[in-house]
Amino acid sequence: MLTRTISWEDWEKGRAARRAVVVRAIGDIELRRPAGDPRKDALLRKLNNGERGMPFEKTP
Amino acid sequence: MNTPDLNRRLEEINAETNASRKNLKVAELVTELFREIGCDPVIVGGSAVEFYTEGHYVSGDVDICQTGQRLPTPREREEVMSLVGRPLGVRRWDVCGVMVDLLGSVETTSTAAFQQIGKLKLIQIEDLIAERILVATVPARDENRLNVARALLAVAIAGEVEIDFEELERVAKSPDYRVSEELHTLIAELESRKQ
Repeated sequence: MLTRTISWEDWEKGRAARRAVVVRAIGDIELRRPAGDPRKDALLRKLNNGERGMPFEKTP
Repeated sequence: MNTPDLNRRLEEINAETNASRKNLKVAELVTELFREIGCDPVIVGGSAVEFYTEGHYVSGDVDICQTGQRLPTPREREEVMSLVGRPLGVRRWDVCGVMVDLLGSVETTSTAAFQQIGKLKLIQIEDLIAERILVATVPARDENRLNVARALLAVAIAGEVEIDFEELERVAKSPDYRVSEELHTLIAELESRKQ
């Protein structure tokens, strides 16, 4: 069980069980959503030579 | 966190092939960096759903709010995030291919403790369920969105995620959400499928 506070290991251990419960409840469907608005993505790439952001260099 | 440690973590994240685990690792790293400057981040939105329901909702981004009094200044946001990623816009960064949105103070009606995976705080499942029912029913019923609420409720009913049902009822009934009827309908539906 995913209690209020769990370790990474316990989260990993419970993954299959949680997935099985969700499959029983709503079927084996992925509730995916795109990462951000595709229109914004296209606009960013258009503005930044195919990249999602401006050229970036780490501050020393 | 020193530079070799940070680089090691980023390498580990870059090597991660499971999308859900990768999001979790990015969220954990960002959380740790903001804790170092005295902030207290909480994961909200789709990435929180994903961590509760196990990959059935692989969110393309990680939404991070802050709890407590200390909010990072805009300058701190930029400086901290420049250690791990590249800016994509205002409050949005790409960290190893995962989009991270840094939002403001966390909005929650629940008074339950935040769930925690390792060092990572998640928005309370009670609040998340009420929120997902609300956005799935107002202004109109949306079955795809309702499936997210069903998935969260299912793991809670099955005992896979700790939940306070009295608190859930209180949050759902509160003026903030007013989704108590819809909550009862969903619970009845899920209970009937179990039989």
